[in-house]
This record gives sequence, C-alpha cells and structure tokens, in this order.
Amino acid sequence: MTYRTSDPSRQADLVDLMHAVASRDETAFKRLYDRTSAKLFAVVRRIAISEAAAEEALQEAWVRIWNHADRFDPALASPITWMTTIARHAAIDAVRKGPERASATAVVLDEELADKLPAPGSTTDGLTGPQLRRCLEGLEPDRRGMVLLAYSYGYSREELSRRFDKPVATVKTILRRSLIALKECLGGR
Amino acid sequence: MADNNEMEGLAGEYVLGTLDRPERDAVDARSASEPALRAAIGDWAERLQPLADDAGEQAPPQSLWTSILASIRSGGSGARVQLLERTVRRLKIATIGFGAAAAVLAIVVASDRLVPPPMPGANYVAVLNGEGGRPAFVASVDIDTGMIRLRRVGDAPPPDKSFELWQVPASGPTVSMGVADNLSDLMPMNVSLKPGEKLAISLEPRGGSPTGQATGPVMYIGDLLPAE
Repeated sequence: MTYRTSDPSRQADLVDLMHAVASRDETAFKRLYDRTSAKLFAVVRRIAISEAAAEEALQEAWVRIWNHADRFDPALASPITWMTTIARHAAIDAVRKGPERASATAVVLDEELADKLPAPGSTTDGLTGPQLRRCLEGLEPDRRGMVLLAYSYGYSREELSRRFDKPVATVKTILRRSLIALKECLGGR
Repeated sequence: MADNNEMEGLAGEYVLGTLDRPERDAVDARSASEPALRAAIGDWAERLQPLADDAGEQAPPQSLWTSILASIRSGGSGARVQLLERTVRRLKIATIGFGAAAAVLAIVVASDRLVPPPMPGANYVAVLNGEGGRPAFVASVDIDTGMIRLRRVGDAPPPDKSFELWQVPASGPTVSMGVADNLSDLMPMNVSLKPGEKLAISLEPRGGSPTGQATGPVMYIGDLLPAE
C-alpha cells in the first residue's frame, strides 16, 4: 500500500495537491496521479468488464478529477475518498453504457464475496475497516450481497433485481434499509 | 425523521452507485445548493471507503498518463472548446443537408452489431473506407469532452504493425492522433478538427510511426461530417 488513509501527513499532502490541481497545476496533478492511480485503477478494475474498459474509465475519472477539483472540500471527505467516488461513478457509467455483464462473472463474484467476509475474529490490518466488516456481517446474507455487489462491482438496481430475483422497487427498499442499518451499526456517524 | 432518512438513503445510494444516471445528476445538481446533502454524501463515502481499500492496488499502464494529459490539455481549455463549439454551430446551420447524411450514417452504424451507435453528444462522425469502399473504421468526435472514439469494423492490424490515426487538414502536414489497434479506442483529441478535413489510418510499425509523420501506406480515409 502506498497510501494510508490513517496517515495524517500524507493526507495533508494530498489535500494540498488537490488544491493545487484546482488551480490547474499540472505538476501537482501528476504527483496526485502517481500517488493514487494504482489504488483507483484497482477500484475501477473490479467494476469494469475488461482491462480496456477499466483503462477508459480511469482516464475519464482523471479528467473529471481535473475538471472538478475545485469542488473538493476536505471538510466533507478525504481526497482519496472523493476521488474514489468519482472513479467508481466513471466505471459505473462505462459498464451501464455497454452490453450486459456476462453471467459467467457471477460465479467468480460468489467466490470473491465469500473471501471478502472472513469469519469474525480473523485478523484485520486496519485498512479493511473492521467496524464496517462487523456491521456488514450483521446484515442478512442477501442484503450484504446487494451492498457489496453494488459498491464493489457496480451492480445497478436492475442487475441486483435479476440476480436476487426481486422486483426493482424492492431492491431499492432493501438497499436503503440496509444502508440505514449500517449507519446505525457504525454509531450513526 | 422521514425526510432525513430519505436524504440519507439518497446520499447512500449515490455513493453505493445504484442511482441511475438522471437520479445521480439530480443529486449532483441539488447538492450544489444543499450543504446537508453534500455532507451526507461525504459521510457515506467515508463509511464505505474500506470496501474500496479492499481492492488493493494495480498500476495502470504507463501510456495512460499521456492520454490523460493530452485529454485535459485539449478538452480542459475552455477557450478552445468554445471555439470548436462555435465552429460546430456554424457548420450545423450552413450544412443542413449533411444532417441527412449523418442520420443515414447513424442508421448504418446502429444496424451493425459490431458497432454500437456513436456516443451521445458526438459532434462529428466519419466513416473511414479502404479499397473497394468497405468501411473499416467509424469515428465519432465529442467536442464537449474532447474525445474521439474509433470503432474498428474491419480487420485488426498484423501482429507486428499498428494502425495510426491522422488528422488530414485541407492544407499542411498531417498530425498524428494516436495509435488505434483495439476494436474500440477512446482517445483524447490533441488537435482541433475542422470541417472539410479528413481522418486517415496508416499502417505503421508496432506502436506507431517513429517519425511523427506517416511512414506506411494509408489504409483507410474518410471525411469528417457534422453530427447531431
């Protein structure tokens, strides 16, 4: 990991870089890119259906970061979190423009999901969010699956509806209830 | 509170990625004037960020930075974009007849299974034909984003060669717009395209022309047409 959300000095560096990027500083933009693009690419790669699509989405994400850096507010979110949201949205836009996801990926996803939620009490390295993990484990399996497929793999309500064999409106209700439950579990913060 | 839950749900779904595009755009528009919504989105993004951290790290290809830089330089400059938009508007007024040609082209493009319709907001299209008039590439240019999408209809280049895209101005030297070896390439535009120009594809050594000018044969060429 070259980036740690928990490291305040790195965090401050990134905030400074974001401000410089907002004033169109290409050197700062390159430094920001060098520090964070591997992380963003990994996030985008999980959502995109191919390596090429991931590259395209990452490029789009960085153009959006450049264009909207002036909207970044360090009081609301950390730079990496703000950029992650932009990158995930860019990847999601790319996925939803394209053809249906191949159903073969579903099998891989099931295995990945199983890996993603190890037994309670297993070691965590501080970056994987033990609190969030615990709260996700508190959700019913279907609900947990929906949240993870949506966040990590960019599933739309429609895709979740097909995968879990529930009406789209129900999916929306379940997602929102799950989110509220997560928020409460995390202490409302 | 019901209102608060509604906003929390909306902000949560915004971050989760399950809003459709119009819903998400509406949230973006609202949040500009609603600090509470902005704050809720920030909180949700931080809450769920550990899931993104789980993805680890994967270095993108080296070439990507060059593309990004070219893209922000061509698309990021407001003045240049405005100039191009004005050109396009004039062109639309001057050549209404071309609209029909573009519409026909759109149908051709849409009916070919290999070639999805041009991306929304495309301002120019071009069909690049080779010998015998068979289309080999369809290009769509989006002035707003400063991007050009190139879809290959014909054969891939030989393994040791690359296809390279060129801007062919009415006069003056051709300018390389990048290598186009994939079935679909989305590339930032390093040039400002004008009506009356052509796009051409030449066959170059793998990775593109070493000289900055076409060294191999021109394989495909087509006129730039305004599109709606």
